[in-house]
Amino acid sequence: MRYVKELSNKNKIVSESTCEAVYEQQNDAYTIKFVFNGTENCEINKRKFSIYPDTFAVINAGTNFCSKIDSINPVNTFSVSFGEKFIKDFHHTFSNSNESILDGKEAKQTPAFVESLYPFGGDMRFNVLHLKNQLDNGLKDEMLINEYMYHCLLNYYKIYDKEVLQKLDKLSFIKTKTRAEVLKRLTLAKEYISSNYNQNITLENIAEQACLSVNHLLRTFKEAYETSPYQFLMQIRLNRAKKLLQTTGYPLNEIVGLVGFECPSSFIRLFKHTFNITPLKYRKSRLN
Amino acid sequence: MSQSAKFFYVQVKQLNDADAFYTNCLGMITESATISAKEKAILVRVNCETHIFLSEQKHQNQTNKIVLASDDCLEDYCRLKSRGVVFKKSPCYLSEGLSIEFSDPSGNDFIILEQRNYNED
Repeated sequence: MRYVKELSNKNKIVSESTCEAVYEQQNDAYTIKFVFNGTENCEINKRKFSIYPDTFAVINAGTNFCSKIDSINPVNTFSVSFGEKFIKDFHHTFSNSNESILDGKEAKQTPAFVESLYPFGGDMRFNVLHLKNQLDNGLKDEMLINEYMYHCLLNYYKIYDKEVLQKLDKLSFIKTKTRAEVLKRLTLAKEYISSNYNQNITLENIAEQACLSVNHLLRTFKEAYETSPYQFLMQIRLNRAKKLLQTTGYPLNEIVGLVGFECPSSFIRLFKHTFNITPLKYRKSRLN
Repeated sequence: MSQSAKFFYVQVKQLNDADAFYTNCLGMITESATISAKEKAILVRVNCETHIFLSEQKHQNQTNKIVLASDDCLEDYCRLKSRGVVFKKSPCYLSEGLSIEFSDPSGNDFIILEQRNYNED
């Protein structure tokens, strides 16, 4: 099932539920891509990553973009694209003081987002879920759809501030250019971990993907994200295991393997240590 | 909009104006009521659990701040805006969720709050 909603201001929403799909295109508008269940494998500028339900991807206008879905169960994807004027106006309002907005100068600057994966939670999740539910139920009111999309951008800018700008400040390099370059490489490391969390990945693999030495990766990753790459990997595995416990009936041993753990007992120990509840008790509590 | 608190007693300047605002702008169901032999009132049914008593007289248990819960604040915002409600500011993110604020013609403050559990899995 697929529907496309295009608004008079060129804002566009595409919702799709499919087991198999391949798209290869030049992304013609600023786009935020979500996946509600399953995985969408993407490639932008020869960089591969996967979008899971706990992340979303941001893609700039003009970027060459490929995506592939290949799954036994239908994968539900949802993407919102912003018309050029809409995003320019938003960026102008968000980035400038009230006085300069009142000057009446036309919004000319287009933003350049850091194309990457971002955590999908908080207000962004609530607003996007409302928008999706409304559209699934046949919403036609453009004013309301645009209001949701405005808030979607507002939420993204807050996430961007937290995930990019604040992390830049945490890096101890003096030169701004160096900080930006290191954060870019750390973003690659995070993307790689998030997309390959269920594989047997090593620090060397992550460092190679990020074009950093292992020592440099360890030091700067901790500096920016206040956690080590290993801890970050474990957190992703545990959170995704939690989601599988919640939404599927898979046996525990299968979930352990699906999220990249080799030994069920170490998974159970770590799960209990992190969430103060055993995996099976957690599943039972969610069923109730 | 759905329920939050159950009964609000609210003082208004003129019942007729208030009735028009609650019916036409807020889209709520109103009906005439009497508080005593001399005093007329309007009962506003926000939903099956929340009611507002409007009266021109001053009473001890009246409030001028009404909090209504919402399932989708942005939807309520757009719906009410299109009906002519003027909001104090655009929807605002709080630690409890998303809220919007407006006043009725008598100056009573309304807050519509969509409570969001940010710790939910």
